[in-house]
Amino acid sequence: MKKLLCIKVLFLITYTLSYAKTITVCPDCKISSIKKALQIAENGDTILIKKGIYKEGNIVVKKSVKLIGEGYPVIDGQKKYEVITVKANNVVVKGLVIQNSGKSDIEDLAGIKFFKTKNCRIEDCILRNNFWGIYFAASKNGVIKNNKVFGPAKLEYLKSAFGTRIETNFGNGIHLWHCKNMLVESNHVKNHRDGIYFEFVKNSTIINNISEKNLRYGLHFMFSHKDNYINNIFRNNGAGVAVMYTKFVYMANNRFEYNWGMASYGLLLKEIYDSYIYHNVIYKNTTGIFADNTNRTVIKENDFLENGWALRIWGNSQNNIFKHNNFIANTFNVATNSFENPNTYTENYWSDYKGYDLNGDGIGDVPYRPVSLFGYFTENYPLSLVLTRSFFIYLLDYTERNFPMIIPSKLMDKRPLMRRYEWSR
Amino acid sequence: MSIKLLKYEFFNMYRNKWIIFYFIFFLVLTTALFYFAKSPAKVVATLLQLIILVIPLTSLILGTIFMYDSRNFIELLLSLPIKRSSIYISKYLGTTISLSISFALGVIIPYLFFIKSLEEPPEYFLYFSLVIAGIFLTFIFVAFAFLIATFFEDRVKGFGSSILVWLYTTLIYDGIILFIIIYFKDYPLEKPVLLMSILNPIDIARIFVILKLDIAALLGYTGAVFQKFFDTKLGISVSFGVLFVWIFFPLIVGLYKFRKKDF
Repeated sequence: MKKLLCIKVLFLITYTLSYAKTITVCPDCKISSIKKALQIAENGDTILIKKGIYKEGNIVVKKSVKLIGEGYPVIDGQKKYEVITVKANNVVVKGLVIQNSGKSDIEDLAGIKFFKTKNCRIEDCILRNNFWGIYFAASKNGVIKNNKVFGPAKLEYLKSAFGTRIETNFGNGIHLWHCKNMLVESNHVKNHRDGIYFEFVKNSTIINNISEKNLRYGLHFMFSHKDNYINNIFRNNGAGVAVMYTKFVYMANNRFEYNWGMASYGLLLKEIYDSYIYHNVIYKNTTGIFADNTNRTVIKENDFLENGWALRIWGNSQNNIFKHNNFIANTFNVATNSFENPNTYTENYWSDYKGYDLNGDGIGDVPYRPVSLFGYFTENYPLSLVLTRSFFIYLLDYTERNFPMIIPSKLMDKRPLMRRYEWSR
Repeated sequence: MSIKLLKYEFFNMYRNKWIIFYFIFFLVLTTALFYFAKSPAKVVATLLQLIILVIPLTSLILGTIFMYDSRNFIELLLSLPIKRSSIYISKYLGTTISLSISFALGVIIPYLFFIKSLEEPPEYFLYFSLVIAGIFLTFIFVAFAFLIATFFEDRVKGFGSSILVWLYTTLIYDGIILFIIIYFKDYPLEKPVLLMSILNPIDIARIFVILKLDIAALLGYTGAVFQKFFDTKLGISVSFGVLFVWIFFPLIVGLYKFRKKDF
């Protein structure tokens, strides 16, 4: 019986080996084009692409093949075509340079587009100068790993064109639309419109990525429930990171930094429910976290360092918990446009807390009010910002903090920490 | 003759302990700030707040004190064949130049000392706009002090009105701006507020420096309007023009009063 099984297995292996053949493509070989190789390939085959430059227009993959590059072959779209379009399941794309996709106002021409696929992977690829970078639509169980996606959009374009919208001239780096169970891991996205874009993507994970110098958002996240994004760095983006219209997001260990400009946010939250923001570092942003209609979210053990506003929270955000966060050297700690306080602030460290701790339990005996009067004014009358650093404002803030009348008197941390909360990094 | 007088006034100021104290104050303060903050941009941010507070106050108070104290000397000079205007001008220049030098040295020496050891960008332009703003404030408020001291014989009245001028420019004026912003919040107020703030020398100095600091990004749309204004040649010439008007208006009124005054 065992022998029989052995033979069966052996037979199966040899069968599959002989079945899954490898087709080699190189500029001087018998098969010199990828399109030709795709024509003769069967499901399960491997197409090995050797070093060279391939300009073949739009390459459509309709079979479950592996496209493996050797020595980083360049596949060029000549600024006219979508470079690769994948419409089959189980396709693996690895080790290619994909560049110069076309640009269109009607279609989303991408460096590589996966349309209605399952179990596709794209790994170790370099995408340069594409309109859209890696584009997944209506796909499941895909993996995007170790890619470098560098687009044509430079931040200077945005700065030089105050008032004119030129963002529409560029596409997103990694764009996922209507997907499920996706993994975006260890990619580096630069100079696109949005670095990583998620719309209607469920049960997915974004991990260890770097997204920087994008015109708009480093990560743009909409209608994407039950997702995680962990260990990413979002740096120097035109408008930071936006997470919107979403339930159950887990955001942990990310760095949101240097999103500094007139309309920049470290993390913009809009219509977020039941989410968890944990162990993030929010450093040097104009607005650290901007919360508009964010509810039942836990914000715990984060560092807010040197931001303009560490936290801007609007009155429609309710039942959030802020605990064990460090607010250090921000111009404004909390700004709100509401008189009420529907959120809980407890056991945070505020670097400008001036209270004392008589019993030495590490918790200040005097409650801390994180909203300054000036912060309140600026939120309701933005023009009052011209009085920044006026002595008059300093006096107003000082008196108001001691005898609060205008600022939401219930918005306070009753148990402010005396020392910085050390969470394990 | 007036050069001689100016020279005398200038060196006479350095016999005064106030000027030395003023210099040491800025020296120690700036050194401490550099020692702790280690970044010129941050030092400027903190110094700015002190400068717009301290310079007008000290200029007003010291200016009034000097004018009252040298009353006997002025009376002596008046008995000599010297033009009244050159007495007044040399007194004014002697005071302002020595105060400005004390201030400028006090903030520049630590800067030059620390700048090599710091890893942050040196921010020359930012730092020198701060120094220039400080010098302008000195010139403006000493002119006011002299005007007040010539206007009132009574010292108490003189000091009182000096402090009133200070309160008005640093506190009350900003309060009025804030009131207008809040009361007329439904109107597009950017331009009126811009106009109002360039009418107050302290506000010009403050906004001019703030727009160069990185907190300018916090100002959002308002900041963009201001930035646009201050970036144009018109904006720069208007704001400098206003600063000069604020120097010459009290100076000339004071001079006129001084020439007509019956000692």
